[in-house]
Amino acid sequence: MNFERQVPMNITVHYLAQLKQAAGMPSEVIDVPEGCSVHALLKQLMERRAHTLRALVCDSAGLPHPALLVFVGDDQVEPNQVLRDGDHVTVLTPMAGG
Amino acid sequence: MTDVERAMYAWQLDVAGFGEEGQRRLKQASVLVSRCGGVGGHLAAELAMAGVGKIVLAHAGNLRLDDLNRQVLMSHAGLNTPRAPQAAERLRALNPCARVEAVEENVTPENVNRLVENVDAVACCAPLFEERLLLNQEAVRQKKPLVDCAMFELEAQLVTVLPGKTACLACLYPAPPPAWQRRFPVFGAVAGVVGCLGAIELIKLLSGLALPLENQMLLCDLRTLAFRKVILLRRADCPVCGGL
Repeated sequence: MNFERQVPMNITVHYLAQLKQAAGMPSEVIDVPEGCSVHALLKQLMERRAHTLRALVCDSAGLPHPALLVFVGDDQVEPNQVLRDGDHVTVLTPMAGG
Repeated sequence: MTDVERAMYAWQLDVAGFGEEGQRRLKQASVLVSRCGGVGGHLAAELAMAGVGKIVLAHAGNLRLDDLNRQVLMSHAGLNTPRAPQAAERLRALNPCARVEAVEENVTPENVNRLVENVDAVACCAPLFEERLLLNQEAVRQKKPLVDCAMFELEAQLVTVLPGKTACLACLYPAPPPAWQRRFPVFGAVAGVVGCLGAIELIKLLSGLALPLENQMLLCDLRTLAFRKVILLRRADCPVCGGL
């Protein structure tokens, strides 16, 4: 029997632009299970902040919108990217001119 | 180069790696500026003063009072009159050597081919993603560089698209984001920052002065004055640039 408890990972999420405004904060630290992917993190964020973020980050099927840009550290990543403890994840929706 | 031009550009002619050759290249170059409002207005002004030979301004509609916190080429005297001609007049006043064309249209599927065909590079400064993606698609098809300038509140971002070499806008966002609104919070000074950054990218590209951003996005947070470059993914399956 495995008596080891799964230790959650700490991920720092940085919100930019519209997402920062909607979240009401520039960043927050979130616990996610080991092996968590970017996609799973985004779903967790949508559930955690459903009333503020959902309209900005979801497509019509309720999945993370393809226009969402996600970076781990300074590198843009795909949704299936697996996160590591201590990662800094930056999430932004595109901006335009005016 | 004429004596007047040599005198007018004296300060920038001394920039290392630029000189008369760089100035000559700028004079021979042409740029389409898609919308000459806050971002595009600042960008176009810098290109005109730097000596870019031809600037095409594409912007439909009349000037509104709520444009005037950021649209630096406009004035109160021009309220309720077409934006593009007054922006063009201002650019000609800034530099009579510049050839400036005012097109009183936004970029559309009907005009995008013609607008891009007649220039060497594109500045993408429009507020709507449909326009930006259309311009990106055409610039990639014609293999012309595109500098994308964007802003929101006190943040700005800059991307340079080199077709076949870097990620294009469709790699980054294959569809318009779900909740973008035509009007958004911003200061004119933010438009000025990203417009000037876009202008220097174009000056580098057109003159050969230095390398532009390649597969990178510049993120600027003007609330904290933090500038950061992040690395972009070029998508092999991108419907716009994947085949290049």
